[in-house]
Parts: sequence; structure tokens; C-alpha cells
Amino acid sequence: MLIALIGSVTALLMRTVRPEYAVLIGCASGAILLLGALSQLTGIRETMQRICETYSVPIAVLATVVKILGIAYLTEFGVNVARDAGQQTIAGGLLICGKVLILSCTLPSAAALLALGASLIREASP
Amino acid sequence: MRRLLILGLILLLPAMLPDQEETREGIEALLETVDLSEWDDWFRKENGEWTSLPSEYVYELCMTEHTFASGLTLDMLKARLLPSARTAAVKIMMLLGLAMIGTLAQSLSEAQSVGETTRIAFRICVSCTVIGLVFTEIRSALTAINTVSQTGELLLPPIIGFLTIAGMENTALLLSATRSLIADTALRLITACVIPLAAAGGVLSIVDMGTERIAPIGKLLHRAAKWILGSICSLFLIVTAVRSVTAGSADGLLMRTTRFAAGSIPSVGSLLSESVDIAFQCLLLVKNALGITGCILVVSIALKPVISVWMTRNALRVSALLSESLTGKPYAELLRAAGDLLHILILSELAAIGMTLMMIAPVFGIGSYV
Repeated sequence: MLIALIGSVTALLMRTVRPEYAVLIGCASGAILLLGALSQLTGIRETMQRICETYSVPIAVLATVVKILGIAYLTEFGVNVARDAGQQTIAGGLLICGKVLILSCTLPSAAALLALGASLIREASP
Repeated sequence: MRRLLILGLILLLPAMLPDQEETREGIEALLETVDLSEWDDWFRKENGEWTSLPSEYVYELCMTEHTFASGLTLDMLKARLLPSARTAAVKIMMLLGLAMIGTLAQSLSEAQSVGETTRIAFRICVSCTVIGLVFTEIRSALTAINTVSQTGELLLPPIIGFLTIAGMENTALLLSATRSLIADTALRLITACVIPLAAAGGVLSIVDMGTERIAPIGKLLHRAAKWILGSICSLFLIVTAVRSVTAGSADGLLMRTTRFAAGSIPSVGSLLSESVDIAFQCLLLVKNALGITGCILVVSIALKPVISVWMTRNALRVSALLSESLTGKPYAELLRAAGDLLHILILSELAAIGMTLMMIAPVFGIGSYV
């Protein structure tokens, strides 16, 4: 919280004097905040892993979920930085890239499912 | 020639033996004409834990030596139910865990600009896991129906052979016709049409996850699958019932005519009539024992997969109820849709078992027309 406050105030002050530094300060504050959150995210990941072990949820599902979460957070961070820097086109591109990456994470399981369905249809057909 | 010899042997027996003994000898002579080694082999392969083999069971039933061991039957049922119940409990836990993970992950990414995409991705993950679980059951159901079909195919040759030898050719012909009707039409329609339709409907409803966009199509496919299954069963029931009444009457009439003809011979008529009566009683005993054993064989082999699918269906429904408060409507709807799909699978398996039992049923019917 303090880092966010200091970063915001410093970036606001620098914007009038050296706008390029304001962007850098914003980036640095965001990165520090994200790194701080990552340590907490490890705890969440461990909790999820415990749930998976207790409830016999396939570990592949957890791996995909964690991967999707990671991509989502990084994309969000990148998009915000690009927007702060006034690069709307890059922000848009990054957003699309993130969405594609998230969906591509789910593709292997969807493809495996389709293959299973196809083999089932082959078995059932006379 | 062989038939005449056997009939002659049965007819001559009463003259030589006392009452109880003559029935025993008659039954043993008839049982010698039936080769049940294939039944025994099949039973050993599919259902190893049963104490007596089908051939022994037929003998015990004919000799009225069989005592119903309720404790043993309960133990066997317990041995089948308990592992399935345990597996179902594990599945409930897994589905609840999946609901928790899904909700947690969704709440962590809700307010982001990629939130909608993330939500869709989680939905795909959860749907894939549940569909994978359901597909395992679909495969098991297909294997079960195939096993029932093979059991039916294996059961018939000894029964048809015995009925032909015993002069009940109409019923033997009926059994062959019913067998081909089941294997060529009914079971093929179930495996190639009903189950794929139900699976497609189930997958559409699961992927929909309560948004009601594609779920109506899924429900339509489910209804179509149920209608087709119902039509197959009804048609099969009507055709088999009409045919079995006709064949049973014809064979019963033949047996009655033989008895009347034997009784009307001057001087030795009453003695012959008595012998024919005993011969027919032996035939009926063996025939019914074969029919009962066939039915037990089908039920005992087909019961396990039905219990397994039934337990998974219940697990899905219980999970849907439990997870509704935790995750809201979409996840519960997904589990309900999977449960509905398994319900159609159970109906299909029961239809296959029922039709195979109906195929054997005419064997019992002949005696009532004598």
C-alpha cells in the first residue's frame, strides 16, 4: 500500500518535470507490487494443491488453472503499463495476446477430449 | 435319430425304475444332451467369485436340490456395491474440490480486463474434467452392452439345441429369430444411435453451464435418445410377445397331442400316457432350469457395470446439490446435465439386459400351454 502511495505521488510530481521518468516510476512501483503479491500467490497455490490432494482433483487441472492465473495477472500488468505510457495500440495487442495465451492453455485438454469423443464414436459405430 | 433314442429312453425308464428314481434318471439323460461347458468357461471368465458353475446350478435346479443362500447373495451384492460406493464418494469429493478450485480461481481473476476470457478458460477446464469422467462411464456402458450381447449369443446354442431335441422347434426358431433381432437391430441401434445422441446432448448441456444458449439443443437430443430407446423397447416387446405366444401355443399343442395320442392306444394306453407325462415333466424341468440359469447368468454379469454407472450418476447429482451453494447455478447445472446423460446410459444398459432376458423368457412359456 505504502509503495503504491509513494509511487503514485512520485510519478505525479515527476510527470510535470520529466514525464518519461513518471512512466518508469509507475512501472517500477507496479513491478514491486506484483512481486509482493506473488509471494502471497504461492500460499494460494499451496492451498489449491492441498484441496487437489484432499479431494483427488486431477493435478493437470490445477496446473492449467495456475498457468491461466499467472498469464492473466501478467497481461493485466503489461496492459496497465502500456496504457500509462499512452501506448493504447500496444495495450490492445497485449490484451489480445494474453487472451490467446489463456485460451491456448485450455486447448490441450479440449483436444484430448475431442480425441476421446472421436474414439468413442468409432467404437459405437456399427 | 438321436431325438428318438432319447425319447425312447425316457419312455422306457418308468417301466424299469421306481417313481423318484425314474425322474432323476430321465433328467440326467436329458442333461447329457446339453453341453454347458461354454457357459461354465464364460462364467469363470466374467464372474469368477460365484461358488457353483452354471452346469452345476442347472443340475441342482432340476433335482430341486438348490437352496437359496441369501447370506451368500447378500455378500456378493455387498462386494459389488461397496467398491462402487467408495468410488462414488471419491468422485463426489473430486467434483466438490473442482468446484472449490474453480470458484477460487475465478474470484482471483474476476476484476481483470481478461476476466471474461479467464472465466471461459476455467469453464473449459471444469467441463473437460467432468466430460472426461462421463466419457469413462460411456465407454464402460458400451462395453457392458457388448458383454450382454455376447452373453446372449453364448446362452442360446445349448438352449436351442435342447429345445430342438425335445421337439419344441417353434420356440427354438423363435429364440434364433429374437437373437438376430436383438443383435442386428436393437443393440446396434442402442450403441450406434441412442448412446451417441445422449452423449452429444450431454456434452452440449455440460458446455452450456447454465447459460441456456445451447442447453435446449442438448435437452432435445436427450429427449430424442429417450424416444428412440422407448420405441426400440416397445417394438421389441410387442414383436417378442406376439411371437412367443404363437410359438408357445404351437409347441404346447404338439405336446398335448402327443400325450393324448399315447393315451388313446388300446391296452397299453394308460401306461404310455403315464410315461409320456413323466417325460414331459422332465423336459419342462430341464427347460426351466436352463432358462433360469440363463437369466441369472445375464443378470450377474451385467449387474456390475449398471451399479457402477448408477453410483456415478448419484455422485454427480449429490455433488450438484452440495456445490450449488458454493459455486452457484452454472456448475450445479453442469453436474446435473452429466447426471442426466448417465441416466440415459443406465436406461440403455437396462434395456439391453431386459431384451436379453425377454429373449430367454419364451423358454418358460411353453409349459403353461401344455
